Amino acid sequence: MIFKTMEIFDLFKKNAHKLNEQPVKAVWDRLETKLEKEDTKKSISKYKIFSIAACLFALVAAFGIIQHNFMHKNEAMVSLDKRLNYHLEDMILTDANSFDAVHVSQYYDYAAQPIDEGVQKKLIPNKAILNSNKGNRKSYERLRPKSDLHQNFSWILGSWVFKSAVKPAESVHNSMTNLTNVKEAPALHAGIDNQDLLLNFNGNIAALYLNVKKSDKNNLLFEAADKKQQLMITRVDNNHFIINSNSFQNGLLKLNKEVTLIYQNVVSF
Amino acid sequence: MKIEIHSLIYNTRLLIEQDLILALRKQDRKGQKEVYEKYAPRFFGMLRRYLKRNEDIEDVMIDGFFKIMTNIGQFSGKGSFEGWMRRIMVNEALMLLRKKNNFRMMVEISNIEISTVATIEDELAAQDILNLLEQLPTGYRTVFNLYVLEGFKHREIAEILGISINTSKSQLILAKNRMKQLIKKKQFPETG
Repeated sequence: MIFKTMEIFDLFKKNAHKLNEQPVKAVWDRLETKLEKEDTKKSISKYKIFSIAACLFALVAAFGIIQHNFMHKNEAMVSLDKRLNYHLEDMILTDANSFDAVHVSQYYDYAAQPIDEGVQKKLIPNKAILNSNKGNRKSYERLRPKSDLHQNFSWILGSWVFKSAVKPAESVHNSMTNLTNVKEAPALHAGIDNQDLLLNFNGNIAALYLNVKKSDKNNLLFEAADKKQQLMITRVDNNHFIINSNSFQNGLLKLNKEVTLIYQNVVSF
Repeated sequence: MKIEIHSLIYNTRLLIEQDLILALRKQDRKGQKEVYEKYAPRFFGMLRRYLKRNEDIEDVMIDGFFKIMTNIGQFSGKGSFEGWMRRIMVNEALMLLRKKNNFRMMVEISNIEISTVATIEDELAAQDILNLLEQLPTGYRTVFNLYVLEGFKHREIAEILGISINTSKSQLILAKNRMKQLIKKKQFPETG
């Protein structure tokens, strides 16, 4: 054995490596198990984060879509109207022949939709569009109002478009039944006493038209050519319109010419 | 020529080290095992100087390597990779010592003597080293390990162990004296 003078620190430094030793295999096995557990934890937390992010994204997207639809429903309606180029067919008030309640499954709320005036559009849908949808073609053929004005339905883009006769609310004065008389006596008299005539539509009404000259947001004013006769219709809510009593003369709604009342339901899309 | 070979070896070692770090960053199991196999013997030897029980050494090894492998992102890559790992291992060992409440500093100022150069064997067997270290109180042994073998300054030791710098210094002197006595005893048992 070699002996020599040496500082104790150096002695330890020089010989410390002799303590190095490969640990038993079990140490790595335990370490590996610990690492695997950690990996599982991490992947679970990543999955959680991803799920939460996906849910948030879906919520935001859904909210966005709903808001978009809500904000632009009127514009969309106009847009659809332009695209389809459909027209409301005239319906003569005096010729209204149906008071059937018609349930249309889907409507939008168009409370804010103003009543329009002017040359009226027809409700008959664009044929080319209908032809592209074979499933609807049959319904369309069956239900399409052809030359007469007495059909109540049209079918546009998979939704019923309701155009039917006026169904009076039950609470309205009995004389409402006199509206039937209008049917029998075209374009002359509607005996409605002094009460306002409440027009109750089954569906939300998007627009109500008269062949009138004047209107504002909520009122329609029929004015005869000689300006002696007026008929004002006011929107109450989505599906109620009132023919104001001041439109009547001597308790009767007197029309000296054929008045066209057109109302249009909403296409849902 | 000798310098070139040395430089080549150094660069190759760096490259291998970089690969291992990259593997750790990717959480690649094979890479992790490679790191473990390469450094485990060194750390095992190092931990034997701090801890007496094999179970403790294994526990610290596992916790230390686990920290290294899961916190590799904290290694900036500027300093020595082994040094970084070594520090983690030492910290783990010290944590265990604290936990076991056997980390006490024995300071006996009257016993402190200025050391002189000793005449001793320059070869110590592994068992001798262990025997010598085991005979030191935990405080002596820890300061001795940190200062002599890990290369920490007294200021750093004081910070790590939560003691004063003077305590660290005195612990080292006491450890050294005790060590000398023990070595002398070993070399010349009849005079001890």
